[in-house]
Amino acid sequence: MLGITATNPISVDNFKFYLYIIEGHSGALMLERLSGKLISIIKQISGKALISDKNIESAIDEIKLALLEADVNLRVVRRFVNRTAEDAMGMKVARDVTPSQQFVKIVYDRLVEILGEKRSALDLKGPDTQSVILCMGLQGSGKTTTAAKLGAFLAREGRKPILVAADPVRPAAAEQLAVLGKQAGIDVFRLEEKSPAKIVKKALEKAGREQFDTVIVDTTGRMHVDDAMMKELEELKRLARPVESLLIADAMTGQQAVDIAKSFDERIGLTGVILSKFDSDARGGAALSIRSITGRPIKYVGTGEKIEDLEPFYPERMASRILGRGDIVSLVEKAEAAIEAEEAEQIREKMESNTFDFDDYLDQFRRVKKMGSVRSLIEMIPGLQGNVDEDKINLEDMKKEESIILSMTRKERKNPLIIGPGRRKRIARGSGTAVFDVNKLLKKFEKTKIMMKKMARNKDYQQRLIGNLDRH
Amino acid sequence: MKKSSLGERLRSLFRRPEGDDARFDDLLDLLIEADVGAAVASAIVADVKRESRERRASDEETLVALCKDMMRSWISAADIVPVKDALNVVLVLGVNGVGKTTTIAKLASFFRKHYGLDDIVLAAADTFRAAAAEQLALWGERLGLKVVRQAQGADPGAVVYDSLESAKSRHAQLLFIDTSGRMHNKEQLVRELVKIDRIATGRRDSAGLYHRMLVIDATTGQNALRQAEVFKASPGIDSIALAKFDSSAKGGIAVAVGKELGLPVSFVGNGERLEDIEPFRTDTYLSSLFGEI
Repeated sequence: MLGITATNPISVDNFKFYLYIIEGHSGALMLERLSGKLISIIKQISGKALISDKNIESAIDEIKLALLEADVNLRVVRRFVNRTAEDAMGMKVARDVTPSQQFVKIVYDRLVEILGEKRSALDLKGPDTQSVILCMGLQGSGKTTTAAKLGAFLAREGRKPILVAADPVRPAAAEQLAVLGKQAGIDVFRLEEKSPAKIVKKALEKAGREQFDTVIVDTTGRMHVDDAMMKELEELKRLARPVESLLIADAMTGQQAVDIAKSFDERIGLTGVILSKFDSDARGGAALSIRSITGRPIKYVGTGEKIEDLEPFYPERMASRILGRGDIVSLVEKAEAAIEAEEAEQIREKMESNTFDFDDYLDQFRRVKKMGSVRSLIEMIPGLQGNVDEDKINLEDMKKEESIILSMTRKERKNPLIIGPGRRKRIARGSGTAVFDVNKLLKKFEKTKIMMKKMARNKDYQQRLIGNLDRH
Repeated sequence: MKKSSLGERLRSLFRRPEGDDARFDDLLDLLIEADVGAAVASAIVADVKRESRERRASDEETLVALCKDMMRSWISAADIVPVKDALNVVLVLGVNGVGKTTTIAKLASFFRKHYGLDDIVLAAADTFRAAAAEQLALWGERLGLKVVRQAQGADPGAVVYDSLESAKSRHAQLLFIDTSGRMHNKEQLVRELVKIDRIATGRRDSAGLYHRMLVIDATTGQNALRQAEVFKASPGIDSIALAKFDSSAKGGIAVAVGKELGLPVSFVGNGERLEDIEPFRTDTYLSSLFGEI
């Protein structure tokens, strides 16, 4: 287990406080129900709580590494991190947040910004006319499957699509599209013909005659460096005049994603990207690379082998995925904000000197709230979902208590002893609670204070708590 | 057109008058851009740095040689030599769209040409993807090879069983089993592969070779390491085949796979034509990685 005792006693205290608040509300020892994994993660985080301006550089390095391991293109990483770091330097560091936490947040926000803040749907013409969608990409990027998924998707939206098998190169590519089309109940146009241009031409004629409003063209997979094949695609585009020219890109692509997307965009002109094989465990840095180099929106992601496995693209999900799995980044972000070293030291002093007041109580409260409910905290950790009984933690009570404290005057918060029956009535009215609730909180606060004093002075109790942690 | 840029840039950067540190930083970048991976690239550069300082030599040739030496200790070539007068079996697997079927067609053609094997059987055990069996059947037709297949949706295990029986009864020399592309993170599909492997292991000719080949797309990034890791654990892998190496991708992931998992590479696919495949040679690969070819 990670050593938390000697290196970082302050955050341990704060951590104990956090647990204590939960304990106070749950009426039972929370620790015993938390699984070892969660504890170890919280311990890791609390161990990292002492972050200062000095090691923002190491935060930058970590983010660089995370982005590179996610296959974000190196040039994109460098530009992105430098620019983000510059922005971060100029920003005032908010209270309760360490520079490195804020940096992570800035990075995340910027990722979302680059990935596209709003949904970018297909830009198709009305149903009275014909909209052509040209699907292109490298061999094996998933064009045929995606074309069929797209057809099914648009058919569900009430359009009348036809799939065009314009890949005469790969054996049985047309057959594959035909089978998929049949499965989805969509018409497929195919022709025994070596020239894709001729296939497309005939397909467009048929679509015009039979009033298909959407023509989805599946093309041969080609390397972006294959000049002859790229020329063929240029011609196809001139002929088909698509309203959407979509690059189908494999989410697992490495550093080359940028060159691939750039080549297709420069030579053909893209209107968007569909990221395929998103159900892999690739972190999908290619998305960021493509988006930031070409500026072309990612319109959909392919999330499985079934025909309906095509989903709109969500930048937030992508951003957390790129930064780290299971949303660990935002967990760190939240937890670090909640357990902040310097203030924890003040709390500890207050606990010891018995000057802990309602303002501090409220402060700690908000830290807990910042972390979200324990459940949402746990949901973010892969493999731990559903392991904790949240019913024992009454967040409603916490909210109620917060509003009671907020209805107190400064003076009352500093010195709760002055709160007599009159003040209790006023506080209850102000916070929309009953006098009974105010009484309860006051009692609990006194109890908390006593417990904290004990905790701060009693080494045995601390040892027991730490022992409890280490047993997990 | 292809791998020239890395080496050219390497050489030009080594000629730069700047300090050693800038050079090493650039070397790091170049390795990362070849998809070697940030962590592995850092480890390589750190070692090269140390070595070059010990030797007090930081000229271009020394650094490239040091890099290569280190990579050579991780990367190895797997030679697949079919056993004469026996049925040799090659099970081909990989994630979706890496080029398994095309690789099989190329390999069949390669083994016929270089080992004089004329009775080769192809088994279409990808019963999931639409028209996958047709794709293999068309290759079989072009190459004049027997293809064992069943209807789409059939049990791939049954296809494998059939193909082994069929190959044995006709005294075929080589059998390629084409499997469905499957994401390594789909447990159930990986289990299906284990079943296929068990059938093949149980029914194969024990006198012949049994080789499990993972096809990796050379344009894949760091996820390739995960793929290799998972498939190495189950059903197990004997070699990697690097497909689509004719793209601008440098396939640096082979370095990481070699270093982390010790898996050898058997073949490299480098073009659209049937003959565009060659046995992996470490020196050729390294030269191409550093743009010397």
